[in-house]
Amino acid sequence: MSAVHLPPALRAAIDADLRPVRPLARPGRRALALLPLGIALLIGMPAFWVWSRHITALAPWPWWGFSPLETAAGLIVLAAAFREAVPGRELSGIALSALVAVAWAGFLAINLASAVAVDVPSETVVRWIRDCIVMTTTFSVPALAIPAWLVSRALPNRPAVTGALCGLGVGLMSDAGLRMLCWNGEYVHVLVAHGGAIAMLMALGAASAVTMQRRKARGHAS
Amino acid sequence: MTAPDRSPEERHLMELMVAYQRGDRAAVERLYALLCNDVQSYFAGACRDRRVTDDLVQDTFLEMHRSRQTYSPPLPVRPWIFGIARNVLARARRAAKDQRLQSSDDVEESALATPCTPAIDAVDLENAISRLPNTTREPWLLHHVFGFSFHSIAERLGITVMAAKLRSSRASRALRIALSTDTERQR
Repeated sequence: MSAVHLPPALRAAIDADLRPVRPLARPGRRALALLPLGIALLIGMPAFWVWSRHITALAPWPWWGFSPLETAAGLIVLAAAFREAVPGRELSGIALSALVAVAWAGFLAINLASAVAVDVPSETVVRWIRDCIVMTTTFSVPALAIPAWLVSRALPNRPAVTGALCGLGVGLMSDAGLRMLCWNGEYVHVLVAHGGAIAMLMALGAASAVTMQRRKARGHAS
Repeated sequence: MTAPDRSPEERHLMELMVAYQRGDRAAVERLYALLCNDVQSYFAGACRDRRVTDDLVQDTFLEMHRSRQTYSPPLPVRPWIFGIARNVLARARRAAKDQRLQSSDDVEESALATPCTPAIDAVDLENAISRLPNTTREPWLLHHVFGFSFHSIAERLGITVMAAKLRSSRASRALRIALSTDTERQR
């Protein structure tokens, strides 16, 4: 056996906190633990806006079937984010690109295939876009804190990528709820309002993960 | 949980990690003894200052201690510890960069930021290596600088032998192109 021993300072630091720890659950199981969050965004968010804004017309019910699919896609993306956050388990460039491409393609396919052509007065186009973004972000920005906290328990080597994946996952889950309230099938509306909200969440997720990682590093250094 | 396809050494490391997660102090010592040299070699490729390398090794094991719950048995231990080492190195480089921005005359920190010394060729090579993507740089360094076999690299990084060879070969090609471009530019 080698005669290499722990340096005294390192030994002291380890001895100060050598308690048993439970290994993190598999990424899929951790993502599944966020199912209640997905359900809250899927059902709670539209219910809240129906109640608070006195919305009387919901999306035609056959199209609701796609919303749980979008929630499931969001959970899969979150599982990938949790995996990405563990050292040595980072996704390859190809897997990452494929995951993001498939998630966006799924989002577009679901929204464009199930949307109804709505005759939107030109003066309300911008207002509808703004409303959709506000309705989504009001719920999804606080919701983003939960996966971000779960990620911060690991040690992501690419915090921006991990955070962006969290944003994408939460964005898909919140869009699943939003499309029950808004079934405007205009390309511009789907891309700018619904897609824009998801892109915003990705950016926010990336920024918050980077900030959190730097704070953690600074905390350890001091 | 079992890991039937793992080498005896990898299985041993996994058992030690599990013991470590249960709070076994002896397991920490054994892990350090088994992995210290590998981690040291990893950092030696990025930084020639022995003192800084030693600090980075200690930081890696300290971070390993803080993040020990992120290891999931029966996954291989080496890719995980090298992942932590990458994180520590990136953090150290960022800290050195910040420091350099704050005080340009801080000699100690600049040793980390510009680890390679004198000869212009060595500087070019190091710059070219640092521009390689992580996925190809590591197999290349482990094979061409530290002399590990592709089989051993594959085991360390948790990839197939073919993938290790392919990544190393891509890195060699990228370095050839980068260095010939640099040389032409100097002319």
